[in-house]
Amino acid sequence: MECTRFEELLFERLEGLLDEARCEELTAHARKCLRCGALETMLTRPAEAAATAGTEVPDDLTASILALTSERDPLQRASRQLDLDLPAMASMVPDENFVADVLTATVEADKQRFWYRARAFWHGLAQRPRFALEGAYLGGVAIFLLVGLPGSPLADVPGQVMNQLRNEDGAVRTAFAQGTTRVTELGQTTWSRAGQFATTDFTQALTGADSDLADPLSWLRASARALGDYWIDTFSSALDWLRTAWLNSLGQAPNDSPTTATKDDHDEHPV
Amino acid sequence: MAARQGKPGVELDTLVAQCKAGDEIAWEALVRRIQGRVFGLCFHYLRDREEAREVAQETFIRIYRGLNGFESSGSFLAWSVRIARNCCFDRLRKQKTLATHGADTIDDPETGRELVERRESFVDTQVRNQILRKALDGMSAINREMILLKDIQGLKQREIADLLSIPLGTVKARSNRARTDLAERMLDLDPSYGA
Repeated sequence: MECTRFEELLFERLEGLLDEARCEELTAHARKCLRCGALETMLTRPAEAAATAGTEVPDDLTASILALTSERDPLQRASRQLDLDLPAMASMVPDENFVADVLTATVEADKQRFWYRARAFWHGLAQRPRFALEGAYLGGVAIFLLVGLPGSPLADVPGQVMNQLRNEDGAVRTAFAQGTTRVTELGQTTWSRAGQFATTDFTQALTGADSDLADPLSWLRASARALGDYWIDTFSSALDWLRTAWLNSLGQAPNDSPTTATKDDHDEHPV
Repeated sequence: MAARQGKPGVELDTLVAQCKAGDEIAWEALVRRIQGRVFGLCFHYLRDREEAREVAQETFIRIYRGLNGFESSGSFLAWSVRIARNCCFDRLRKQKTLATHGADTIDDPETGRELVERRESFVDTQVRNQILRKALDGMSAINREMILLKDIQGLKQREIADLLSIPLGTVKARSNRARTDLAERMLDLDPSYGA
């Protein structure tokens, strides 16, 4: 066993990390090597080491001797100087661009990852007018496919909602938040017409009550007529509602009835 | 502004916690706080300023990506030293110079004694640091790393034992031996060292 290895194992032995066989190897080496034997005795059996000195020494003598010898021992002097010099070598200043480069390679690089780029791309795309209009168009087509055709999965939902609004006392009134019977009637008419249109009129216009899908021109005419009638009626109702509200605010009663005021009006809607 | 000053009043653990929460300002402050240590460590391993800069940057990238995996109970400095050391060894492996990394690889032909002779004309500490580097370069890789981790970076012996995967007793023995070796080398280069 080499002396350097002995030193390593000796410290491990002091830590209690060595097995018995290794300890015996250490002991065997310590018997052969005077230096290692003295080291082992000093570290493991200090009392015995002191006894071999043969005399009882004052408590402060050892410290005094160590202080004196350390002053004169170049190695001790150098070691003390190393205590001062080595920690100062821990830090070295890189160039001034280093931090910026690190930030570019970490935070900025993170922003270049897929999701960051995908999100930025989506935001940029959505803000373009053309894309927004095309998106609205596609959304309209999707809604139509969902609710506008007889076989659509949600074909009956708008009608059910509108029927509920029409039949549920107070629902339309709350929605308009005006509280007058006139407005309620107008609202009921408008909402019910919208529901009826969404479920019945337009469906019929598109699919065939009085139009033939085999004749595209007729189909388009019927659809355009249905759409036109609906929006004309709705627009007239809205104008009438505004006029009534304005007159009410002036304290005057309307002197004529709106053009589309009755609930049953939609039943007569031309299709 | 606080980040540019490195947030001197903020504890390192607090900075690390803020970084884990995604605070970019705290991350900049953390980089400014430990850049010198990381760069110095890389330089001591690689002995080349440009290489050290690249590897230090790579170290920070690994630290940034691994922050969430760092357990707050441990020492952040020891953790970052471990990452920096791994980065340096990866680079050294690429250069295939790990096995022969010793005094004979030093490019600078200037000897330690010449440096001592120039001592009068240079700032004392700068020259002493250069002598120290010469002495460190002459040491074995094991002893040099022990000095680097314990005496220069200030890691605890237990942390070094964990980092190098060796028993604590071995760390103590190697540390003492490395320290003696370095002191002897310094005295060889500059007999008045420490006087």
